[in-house]
Amino acid sequence: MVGAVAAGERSSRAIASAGVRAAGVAMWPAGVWWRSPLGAPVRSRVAAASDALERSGRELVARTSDQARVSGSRELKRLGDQLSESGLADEIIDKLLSSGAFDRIVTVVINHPATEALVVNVVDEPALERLVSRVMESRLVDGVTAQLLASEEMQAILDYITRSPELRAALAHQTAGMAEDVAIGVRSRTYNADAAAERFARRLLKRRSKPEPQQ
Amino acid sequence: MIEEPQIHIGYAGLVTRAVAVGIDAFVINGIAVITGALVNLIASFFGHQGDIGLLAALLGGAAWIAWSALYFTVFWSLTGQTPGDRLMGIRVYSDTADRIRIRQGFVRYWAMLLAALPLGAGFIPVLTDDRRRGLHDRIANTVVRWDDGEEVTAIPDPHVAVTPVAELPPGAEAGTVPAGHAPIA
Repeated sequence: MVGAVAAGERSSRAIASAGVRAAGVAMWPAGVWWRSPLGAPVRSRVAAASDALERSGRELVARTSDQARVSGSRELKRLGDQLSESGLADEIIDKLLSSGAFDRIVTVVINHPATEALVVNVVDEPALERLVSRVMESRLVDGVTAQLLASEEMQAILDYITRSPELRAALAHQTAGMAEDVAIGVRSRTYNADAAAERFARRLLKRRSKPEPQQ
Repeated sequence: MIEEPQIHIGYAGLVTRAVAVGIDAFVINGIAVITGALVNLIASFFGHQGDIGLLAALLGGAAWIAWSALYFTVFWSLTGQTPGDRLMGIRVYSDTADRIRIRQGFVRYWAMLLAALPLGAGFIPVLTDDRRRGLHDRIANTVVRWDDGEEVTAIPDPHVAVTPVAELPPGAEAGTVPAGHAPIA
């Protein structure tokens, strides 16, 4: 059975090969005519017709692309509107945040060596240093600082800090500590001066010195 | 043979007390000057030209003496310490270890002026007295001791031998000297 099929295939291939050769022989005169000056008028008409077809095809492709872009953006906008109206987007974001996935993503991104390398590269970049220097030297920073200092919020913060009992207590403690240090220094000197003055007075009065205290 | 009195380091000496009085004098005179300037300013509103007559000078002197008497008497009788005493860490006690009374403080103030009159000779006994008392202390029956913040219940008798602990400045333990009190060189 297999042998019969193989024999059939070989005979079919032979027949087809013979047909192709016969067609080639038959078309040979047509080819000679086509390439000869006699075929020039026909060639030019065929070229004009093919150019027209190409232009039509290009225009069709452009129109189709525009229509697809317009309709695609319209559909996307409609889909976005539907998403926002349905609250689905909020629901998805809420689920993402509550599931902890966002935290995990942030943690992974922060702890990733690539992030650290990126930060190191960016921080060490001389261009960044120049950029920061320019920003700091710009009038924008001066203006923002002046506005910040003049703002009511900053005044409220300063007011809160200066009225802070903890800060007042710390300042009072520091001031008292400094005064106490000064007083201790003065007392030490006068304590010795007391004894020195008494020794001097006793020498003048030719009296015996008082016994030194036992310590 | 006369027994040599014991020294009691718990009593404040002449230099320390002089510094304390100096601080008090600074406070008293500062307030007096400010008050005098204010009085002069107010008087200028009424056409006073700033010339002071004898009566005004006497009144001003009397006011200054009254003010300083009030200052010392009130501080001594209320806390036993003027601001200068407080800064120097000393306190005035009665001979009986009590807080001095108003009358006692008043007497001590006038006695202090009396001691200062003969070029300060009334303070010389502080250098030689066993309890470092000046003329004003003897007159008012007071002593001045280092203040360690603890209540003094008895003033040591100088003619009784004192223990090393009693001889140390306030706040000290035997063999140590408290903060702010250097050992005698």
